[in-house]
Amino acid sequence: MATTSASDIGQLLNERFGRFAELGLLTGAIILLCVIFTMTSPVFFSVGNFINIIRQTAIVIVLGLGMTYVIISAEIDVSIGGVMALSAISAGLVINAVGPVAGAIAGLTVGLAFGLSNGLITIRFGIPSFIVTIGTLGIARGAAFIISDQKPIIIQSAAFDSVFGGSIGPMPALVLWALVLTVIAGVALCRTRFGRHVYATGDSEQAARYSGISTNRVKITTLALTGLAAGMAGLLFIGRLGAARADMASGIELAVIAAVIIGGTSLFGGRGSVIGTVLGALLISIIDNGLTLLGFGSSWQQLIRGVVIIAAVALRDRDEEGNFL
Amino acid sequence: MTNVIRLKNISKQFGQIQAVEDVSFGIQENEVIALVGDNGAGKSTLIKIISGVLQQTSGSIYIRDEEVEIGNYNDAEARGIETVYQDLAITPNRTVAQNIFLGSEILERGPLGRFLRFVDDDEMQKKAGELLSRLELDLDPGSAVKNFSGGEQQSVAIARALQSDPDIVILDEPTSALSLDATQRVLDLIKRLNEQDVTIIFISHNLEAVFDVADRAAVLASGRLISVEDLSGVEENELVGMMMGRAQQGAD
Repeated sequence: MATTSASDIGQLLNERFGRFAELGLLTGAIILLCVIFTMTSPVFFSVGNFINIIRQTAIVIVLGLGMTYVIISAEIDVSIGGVMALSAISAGLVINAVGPVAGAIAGLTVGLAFGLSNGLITIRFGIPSFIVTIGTLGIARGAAFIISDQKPIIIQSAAFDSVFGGSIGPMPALVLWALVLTVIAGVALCRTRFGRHVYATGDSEQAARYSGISTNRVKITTLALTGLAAGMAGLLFIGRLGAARADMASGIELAVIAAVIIGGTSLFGGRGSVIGTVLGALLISIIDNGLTLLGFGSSWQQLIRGVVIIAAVALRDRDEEGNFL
Repeated sequence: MTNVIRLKNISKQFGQIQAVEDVSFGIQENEVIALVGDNGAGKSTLIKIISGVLQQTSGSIYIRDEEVEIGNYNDAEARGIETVYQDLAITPNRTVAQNIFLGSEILERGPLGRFLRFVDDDEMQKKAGELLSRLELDLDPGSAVKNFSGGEQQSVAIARALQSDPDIVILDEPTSALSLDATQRVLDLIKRLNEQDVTIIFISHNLEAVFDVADRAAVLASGRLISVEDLSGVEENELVGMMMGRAQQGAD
């Protein structure tokens, strides 16, 4: 008797619905989870809880935007948690010493500088970005502890708080920032020449190079953008909490990579979307939120997140030889 | 007949290895010339020099009697030279149209679109469709290339090379990984290109294919040019003899 494997289901969906199959599947999974949690928890289906979910998701989404670009270009950046912490600490110190604008610029500059360094070291020295960014993760996190003297930096700027930590009506500024950045990143990836070169570089670096695309420049740029996104996430984090800490966002890189992969971006490059990453991040947040409301602790959340990642990849489209596309 | 490209005393050395040695010959306008030779004969190195991937150690390249330096892919494209590489220079997850315009995407016409460098997918799809029709290729420009057979993917790679309307197309082993049927389709495509006044440099181990499409063959062995033969006046076994004989001499 013929058996149907997860990859067969993925193949079938892809043949029927093309590139929208994965996004449809993700949206379906999100709706299903919402229905299950609404039926099992009396507080899940409420405006307050949904705002809480998107607030929790916003920083993962902002980091995921850069990560989507970098993974589509067939590189990876695991330094974002450390870079985000160092950016936040730097921004906090400068905000308190100089002012909010200089602080924001300092935070973004630190993120961009680390991202650019990741790109230049990866390309110029031919070291895999995974290794380079493990190194810069340690450097950035260590530097954050050193310059903060292991103490939290309390932000003393009402203007900064209102721009990054306030809200417009019921909507937190954090979420609006994430929304605006998502639209910019999504449009740039889908519609611009640079976006096309990012896809081509990850899909076949050789073909892209033979077509006159500077694949090195594309990769340096995607890694720089990921650093910039980490800098921005650092600002949003201190806007939300009113303080910067060197140990903040520890391990966030794994949640971000999970969101990007669950969202349909191929770890081998060449495939993926910003909207997929947003849905992937929302799926993880809804699982975390629902399980918390039902009384399951972080151990269960981690366990179920792991199952979801494996299930999402198992349903992926594969080529005739069974390799993931 | 006019030489569209002329190579004069081209040599290329990689460390101690002499990959190409003192090669000189001309390629005539609108001909199909094959580069033949055993593995290591210097064929791929020679076409990489013409297409700007490698630079010669010594010697000169003339395009229509003007000495040129081809330092990179963009120089070659500007001189009307396009290359289709052996290992299918396509991006499988992208559509046919996106592959055809890879690196040369058409931008939207409006000032905002141009400023933001937005690509014009409709225009690229339309132009890709026109190009495919001209080449009599029945392929949907909106389909992802990974959905096609090896022969069809090779046809997309060739169509991509023609997008910039080049004078010279270099095909590096275009049939090496293809079935018999697919090989014949690609050879038919090469003949149609030649009928449309494109000069073709064709590298192949498949001498049957060489005799099918090429007017002349430049025989290389151990990096040296052995002979340039008019294929209407030479037998296949004579060509093999030139390739092997010289290769043995080189080995001696």
